[in-house]
Amino acid sequence: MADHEDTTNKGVEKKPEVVAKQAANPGGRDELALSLLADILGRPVRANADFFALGGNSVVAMEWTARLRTEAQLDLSPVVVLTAVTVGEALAQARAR
Amino acid sequence: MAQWPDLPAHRREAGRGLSAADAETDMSVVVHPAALVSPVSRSAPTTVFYGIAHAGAGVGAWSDVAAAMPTNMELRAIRLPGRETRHAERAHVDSAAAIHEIAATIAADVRAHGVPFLVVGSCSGALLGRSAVTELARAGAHPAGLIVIRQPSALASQAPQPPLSDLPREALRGWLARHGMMRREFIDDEALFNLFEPVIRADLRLGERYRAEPYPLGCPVTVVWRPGDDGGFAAYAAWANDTTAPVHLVTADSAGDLLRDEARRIAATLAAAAARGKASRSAALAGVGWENQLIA
Repeated sequence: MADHEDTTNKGVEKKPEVVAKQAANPGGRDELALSLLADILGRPVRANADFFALGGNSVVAMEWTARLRTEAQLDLSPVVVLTAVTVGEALAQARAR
Repeated sequence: MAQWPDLPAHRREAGRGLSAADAETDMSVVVHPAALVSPVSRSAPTTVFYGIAHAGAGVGAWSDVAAAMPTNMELRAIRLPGRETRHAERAHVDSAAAIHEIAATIAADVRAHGVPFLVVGSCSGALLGRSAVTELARAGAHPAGLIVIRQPSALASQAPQPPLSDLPREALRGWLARHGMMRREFIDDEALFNLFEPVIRADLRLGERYRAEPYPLGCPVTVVWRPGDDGGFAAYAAWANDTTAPVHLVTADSAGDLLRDEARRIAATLAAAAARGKASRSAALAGVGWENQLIA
């Protein structure tokens, strides 16, 4: 895994590539969700990754779930993010609701 | 069990209750696959830090510090049961079990990777880390240093009365807010507080039941303290009694959450502690020394 000097630059602006992915694949909410998390963390995100091994924390969980609500119309509780074994499991729980 | 002839009376007192069995080192415990996480992995770290967080916290508490570490250093965080992906497991109810799991987890990783390492603990996590260092040393794994963040020496502090772990819910929320242990928005979020509260209480109970190790460490100790914290300067300076090696005091004149709001400065403090630890290996132990460095 590559070195990461800093993941504190957690931008809140929706980046053009995120918008483009959403437009190109309106049904791919998981893909969009992962893109949003990658945008916040400043690093690639895989669905099978431990949220905390990606540099996630409670603040990131709050920001990600807020952006999921507004940008992906996905209602995911921060509690689920903080307790799921993987990011993908958290998203699966959101889909199952 | 070896005795230390110069053990101060208060230290002997603190060590009462330990039996010969406590000195036995058994690293045979099965290490949980999710017990150790690198929030930010480095490709070939030359130094590794093992982080043990404050009450109620886990790997996430270290993410900002891990990101701010020099590229040749990696912070790996301990995840005890009852939190994050180990949420469904029962939290430790006695400190010995927690210490044993921490030591076994670190020992397994050290065996696998074999780079110089240090242990860093935040608040009550520092007490667990201190005892884990003792257990590791008994097993032949000697850290280059211990860094304690906002935790007085157990030899100089008393558990609060009434116990924090038994505080009514609103009083606990107030204490967490006053001490900067948790962000206000998490304290006020009912769902999040419901998630954190059981493990916070369990961890506070661990700290209240913790008994100071009666044997001094052999590694340098770096103490990060904040004026105004419980116990004051004397309780932090008392870490000098916890080691035969030099102690360095770092004053954090910052009101925020040190691991979050002062992550870069904490990372720099860890790096400096690693350098001191490396130096101490090639020099005779000079006894207790003091450096007072203002980091904010």
